[in-house]
Amino acid sequence: MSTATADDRISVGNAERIVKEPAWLRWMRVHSKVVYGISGVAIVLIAWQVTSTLGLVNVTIASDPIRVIKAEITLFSSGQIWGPIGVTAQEVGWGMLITLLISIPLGLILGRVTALYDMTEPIINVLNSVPYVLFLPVIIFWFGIGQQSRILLVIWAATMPLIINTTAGVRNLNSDYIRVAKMCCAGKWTFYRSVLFPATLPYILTGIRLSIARALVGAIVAEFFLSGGGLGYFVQTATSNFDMDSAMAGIFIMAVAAVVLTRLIGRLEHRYTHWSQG
Amino acid sequence: MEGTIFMPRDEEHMVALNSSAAKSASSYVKVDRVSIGYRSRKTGIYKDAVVDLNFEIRRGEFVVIIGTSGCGKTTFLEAVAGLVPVSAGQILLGGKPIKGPGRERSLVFQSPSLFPWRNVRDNVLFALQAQHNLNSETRQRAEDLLELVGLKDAMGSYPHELSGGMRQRVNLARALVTRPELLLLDEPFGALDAQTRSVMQEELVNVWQAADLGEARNALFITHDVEEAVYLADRILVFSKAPASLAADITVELPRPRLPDHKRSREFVEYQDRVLRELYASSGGAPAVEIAEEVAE
Repeated sequence: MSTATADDRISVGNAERIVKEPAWLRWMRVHSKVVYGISGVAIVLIAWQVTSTLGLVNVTIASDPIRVIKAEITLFSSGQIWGPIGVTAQEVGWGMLITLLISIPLGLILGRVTALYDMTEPIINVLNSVPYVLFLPVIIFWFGIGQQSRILLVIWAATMPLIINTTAGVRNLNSDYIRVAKMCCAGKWTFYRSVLFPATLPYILTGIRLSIARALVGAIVAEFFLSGGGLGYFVQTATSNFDMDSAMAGIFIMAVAAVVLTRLIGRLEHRYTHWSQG
Repeated sequence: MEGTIFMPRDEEHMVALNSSAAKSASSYVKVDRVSIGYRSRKTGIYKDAVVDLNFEIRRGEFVVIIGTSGCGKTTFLEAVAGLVPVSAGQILLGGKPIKGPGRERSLVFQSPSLFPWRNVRDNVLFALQAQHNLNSETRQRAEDLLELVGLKDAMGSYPHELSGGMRQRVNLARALVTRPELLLLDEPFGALDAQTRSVMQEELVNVWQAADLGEARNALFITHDVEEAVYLADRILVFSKAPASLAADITVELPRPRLPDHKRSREFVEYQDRVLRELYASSGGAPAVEIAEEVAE
């Protein structure tokens, strides 16, 4: 009997807590960041829809969300958007792959060899600060207007932040880790693979995130100038044909791709560098 | 969790160890007219850390080097570890001059210096991995060692989840897993609170005296704590203030196994006084106040 009373008291206590904070409010509190984020986007979309429906803005110039959705459906059901998506994806994919293969080993080496770092630092800084688009005419002159040149511009855009971040990570390496590796008689390969690379991984992943953003810009810019297909070219053509719905649909696809890629890197960071945030 | 670890104390083995240490006079480390200096990176001025050191360490000895802060004792230990070159003379290890780090030596660092991206077990395994000696037998040894230092349940934890004392235990296990002949310890308990420190001292004594550990039979321990020195040492080398030279060489003939209670015995306190006097005499006026304070706490 006495135990039953005790249980009752506990459940009363819980009931009181629930009364104080309804479940939906609790859910809101936990997810407030996401809720606010989505609300912000929703407000903009609704305002856009309302102003164009009321005729406050010209729909043929500004389009509106419903028309964009319709355009999206047409583009995907007819399959005509897959071509441009494929072209851009290939450029960014190859560009990023080559960027990773060049920048990470180069960054690791530059960070370790002080003489090389001192020699290359001014050059890398200049290459990083000069807007890479400026090199586009030169790239065209050297390599023509094919896919090769577009990928090259993506690489040009994406490599510098990754090299700079990787190098910074290596140069910030805790000297204790080096001493531990030395004392354990670790060889060069073990040191690079099992000490230097994992210690630098947080910097590398941040660098990759910056690189991807720049690679996307690079790909679009290249498509504007080298008009060989791709989403950039698609949006440009659609705009020239006064097809604002398709243009906005293209931009929306690009936005989704950017968000997905950034989230992906975020997941990798969470998975492999949780120790550096702890 | 700073629990004390209870281990079966192998009395017989310890008796054997004691007598063999006393009998064997074979020199293991020979420090021959060693000076170590360094050039300041900013000013370019050359400074001596230790000058003209001469002594030998016999096989099986637990040697503690004591000196005031910044006297050059850590630099000397790093030279024995092979991380710092000597500027004059030579340090012989088993008859061969030390040219760099070697597999027969392990260093327990002052700060735990664990790899934060590896869990406890993998941190210990790193030492084996680096020496290309990772197999089922050595893996088992790593787990046994972690169990010995009381980290059986924390093998999957990451360093940032551990307390200072636990990290230092992993540091110790990592140093021991490669079966070093000479264990170097650089003020390993310096950053711990008094209680943890005392528990860790006892554990080190236990690990040192554990029968199945085998190889790590020589230890060189750096500290500035007099009580710690007397508790751990077979022999205490007192370093003078910088640039350090050997001020005194005191053999501690306290029985083993040593227990925390011994710290209150008359002999123990006498040894403490003697070490303190030597430190006092060799360091001059100013640092002596510092030492007195350290002992007071």
